[in-house]
Amino acid sequence: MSFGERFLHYPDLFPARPAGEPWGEQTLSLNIAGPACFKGLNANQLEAARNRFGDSDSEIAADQPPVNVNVMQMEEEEYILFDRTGWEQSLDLDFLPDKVRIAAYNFIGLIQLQPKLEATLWTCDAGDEEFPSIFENFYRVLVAYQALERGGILLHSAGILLDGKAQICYGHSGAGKSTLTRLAVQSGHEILSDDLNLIVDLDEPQVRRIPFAGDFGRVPVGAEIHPLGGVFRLKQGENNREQLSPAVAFSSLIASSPFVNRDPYRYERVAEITEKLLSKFSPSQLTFSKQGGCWDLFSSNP
Amino acid sequence: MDTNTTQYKTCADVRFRVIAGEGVIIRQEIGEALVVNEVGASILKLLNEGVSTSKLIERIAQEFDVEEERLTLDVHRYLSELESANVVEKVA
Repeated sequence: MSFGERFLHYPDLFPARPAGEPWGEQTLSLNIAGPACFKGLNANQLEAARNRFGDSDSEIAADQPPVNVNVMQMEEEEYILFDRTGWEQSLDLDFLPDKVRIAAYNFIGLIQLQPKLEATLWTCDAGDEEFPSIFENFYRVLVAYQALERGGILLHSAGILLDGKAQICYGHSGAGKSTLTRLAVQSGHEILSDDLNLIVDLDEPQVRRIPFAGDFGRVPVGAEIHPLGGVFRLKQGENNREQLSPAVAFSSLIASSPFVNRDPYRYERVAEITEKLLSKFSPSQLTFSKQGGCWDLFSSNP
Repeated sequence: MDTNTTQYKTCADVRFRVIAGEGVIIRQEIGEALVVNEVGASILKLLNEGVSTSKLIERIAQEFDVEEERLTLDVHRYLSELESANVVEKVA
């Protein structure tokens, strides 16, 4: 199935550049992997996005101009509507040399990467019940590219604070991120996110708390940042920690870098950032028991 | 039927590199990664250089000092596995 076919009646009409009517005149500024300014929202959309993410106007760093994101109207008739019982949102991504196109249920998006980073979100949702998830699904991709541009990396992982340091535990679906997060909560540890964590400033790696999370860690956008304590590939079993080979560490980290790891035009950049992270932290495999008792493994030597 | 004249190449979405002697294969279309041992890494490196299967067998036999007849079977089996995993494809 070609790009957008499962979501759009006429995917070939996907706009090649920002075009259309904005929903309104409202603006929302957020800063996750860098400042972003969402323009063209109506009052309902602004309230819905603000309720989910907050408004970090006052925290926008002045070190760089924000990425402008235009929010545009799109007719509902242009989308294919289908029964979504038991269906989880998945995105169609189309990687091009200078941009990335996104098609999904109820929205399409365009992230222009060259000559400068800017984006457009088209949706038929005027700010109703589904708008926060539309906004978030689009914003997750944008954040992955903003992080990449600034030399950071977004990882599918559980982030847990232990002794003031962020421990990043990554792995494929079913590896145990949610289970470990639940155990951490039961043991009184603070969770950064049980789904996506952002590692920034790889000269001295730090983890920024971001609002992309499942059951644990859904907070508004803030400026909270913690030194990176360690990076671990997760597995369930008897409590144990062992060193990963450099090749396994590299490959598993790439596999856990959502969106950008599938982009053929930005692969070398993803690989370069991953290698930089590996030069600072050598990941271990952390095998943990559902019975708990794994917390000492984070500070032990493999 | 594969013969030694069949030539393979890595699929368009595959990114390959050698790290500390092991081979890392990234299948970008599905965002998955595989790690192969030293011999597998050498085979993929040679394929990326456009080497034919017969030449590849010759070079691996020299590099790892193995008997060519046995190696031929193993290489064909390995290439077929990589083809099933959409890592390599036959050159038309």
